[in-house]
Amino acid sequence: MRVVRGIADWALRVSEVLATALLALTLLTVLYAILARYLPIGRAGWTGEVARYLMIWFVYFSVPIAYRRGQHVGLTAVRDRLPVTARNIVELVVHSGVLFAGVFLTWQGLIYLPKLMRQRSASLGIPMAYPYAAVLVGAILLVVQVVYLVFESVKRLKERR
Amino acid sequence: MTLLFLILCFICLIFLGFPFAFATLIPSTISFLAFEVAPPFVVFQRMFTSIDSFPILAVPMFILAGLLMNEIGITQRIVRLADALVGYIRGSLAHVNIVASMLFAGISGSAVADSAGLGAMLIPAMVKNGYDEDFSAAVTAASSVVGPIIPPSITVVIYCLVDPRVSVGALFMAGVIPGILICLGLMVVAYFIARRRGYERGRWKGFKNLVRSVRESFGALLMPLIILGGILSGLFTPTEASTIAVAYGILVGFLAYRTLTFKGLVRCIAKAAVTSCTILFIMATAKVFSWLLSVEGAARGLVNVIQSLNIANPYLFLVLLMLILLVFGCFIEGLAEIIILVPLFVPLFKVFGGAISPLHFAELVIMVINISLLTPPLGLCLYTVTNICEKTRLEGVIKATMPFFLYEALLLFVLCFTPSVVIFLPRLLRLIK
Repeated sequence: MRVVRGIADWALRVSEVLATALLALTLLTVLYAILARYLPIGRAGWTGEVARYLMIWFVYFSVPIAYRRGQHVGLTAVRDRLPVTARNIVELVVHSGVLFAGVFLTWQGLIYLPKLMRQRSASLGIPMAYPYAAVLVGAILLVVQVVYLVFESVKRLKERR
Repeated sequence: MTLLFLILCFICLIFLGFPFAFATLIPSTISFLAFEVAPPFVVFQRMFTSIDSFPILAVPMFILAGLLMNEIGITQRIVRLADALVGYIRGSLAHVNIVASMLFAGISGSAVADSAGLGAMLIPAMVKNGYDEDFSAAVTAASSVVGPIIPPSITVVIYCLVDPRVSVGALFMAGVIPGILICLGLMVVAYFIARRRGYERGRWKGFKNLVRSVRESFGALLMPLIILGGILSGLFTPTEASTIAVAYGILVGFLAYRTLTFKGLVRCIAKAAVTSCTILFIMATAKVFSWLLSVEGAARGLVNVIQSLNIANPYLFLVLLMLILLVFGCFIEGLAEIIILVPLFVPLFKVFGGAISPLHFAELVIMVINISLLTPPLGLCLYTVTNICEKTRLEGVIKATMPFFLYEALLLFVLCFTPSVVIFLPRLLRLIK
């Protein structure tokens, strides 16, 4: 249990740092693009693609963070009216469903990404697998957080007994 | 069969309390696996392509700009300005709250952020000055829904991605008059409640005070002008405008107000990343879901149903659609509603030829989505303000919000019949034909 928590906390810290850094880079890229249009500081043809890919990366680093903190919007009003044990069980069901989605995306990502190694992006010419890998990494990090939350839920259920 | 499964599974997952992103993702995944609609890697692929677009970048940027403005202390300055403008009317802090929401709407693009930022400051202040807590919370929630109606607005950016016939600039401007009408009406409602309950009446603090508050909050007031001016003049795209808004916020915070620290900036960026991911992730997953619905022929089915209803008047038809959206809005998050339902509704307009303007419909959708932030069980603004309250429970806030909500719903239905009010500004600025 302590190991699971340690891994999850460490993954959370890394995701937070990377998500913040990537959003800052996205901001700088778009700013550069605007400046480059009005000032002679170089070509800006690459910026659109780079900004988009940076955004997708920070989004998928943030998805597990938001899940761990319970920030993804959902209708919890019904669940909150249940008695404690029932609520804990429903919570466990939700975590398991999310775990299923995370595992599914990881599995499909591992199948699909190698196919994208030969496809190149329009402006930078990098393999499309690099930007797409954001979804895979996000899914893996999500699985890490959800596994921890499942452990927590099970522990809470046991304690109630 | 697949269609029925998708919809039923979605409803079940929502009531179990699944986050919306997963309530749309999981049924899609299962139908890919079980009904073999297409190879399952398509889900993975679409999670990427759905948000791989430059205009979407405006979402994190507008969120970051709003957070920055709050961080550098714009909220206090705006509240002082609102106080100088309307503080002398009976029920003064209620009017200050409403006008501050309206001014803040020009900076931030999200209602929940508005109700959190202004509520944290104004609800305790109102209680201290003798207002009932439920009323204070209700005014905050009801007025914060204008945040995304008055430009800039994240909802608008996303709507325009779903329905490309509408431009961001035109839809931004279409929201100005409805937004002001909402605020004026809310002030009237608040005035009557204040008179009945005998709330305080402030005094006019003089013209000098007004000038001083305008000067103090000038930095904030300039921001919507930069954003709108830049977009409308064609100088920059909405995404670039949102980025300039961020840069402007950072400059004002560091150089003019000197209230921004490097640590504060990093904190804002970190918060913006997570907040925008919750929106963009819903967008990615809801698009997979909406694609499946269209593949399975949901839109065709809906057209048949509407044709069999034989509604002759296009405006009555709009009222019907708004009622549907209002009911769905009680249970479904607004952006998911736009992504899933708008593509189903747009083909319906062919039934009426060109009688309904896409811009008119778009603005009505923006309004109904945000008014839905006040309808339980999923009324996000209600929860935000309830969390700030010390004594009042959710039920109390819901009850106190009722008169304000009824006014907003009434205005929505009136605007269904008066497209000229909505389209007036965009047409004046030649943003549409």
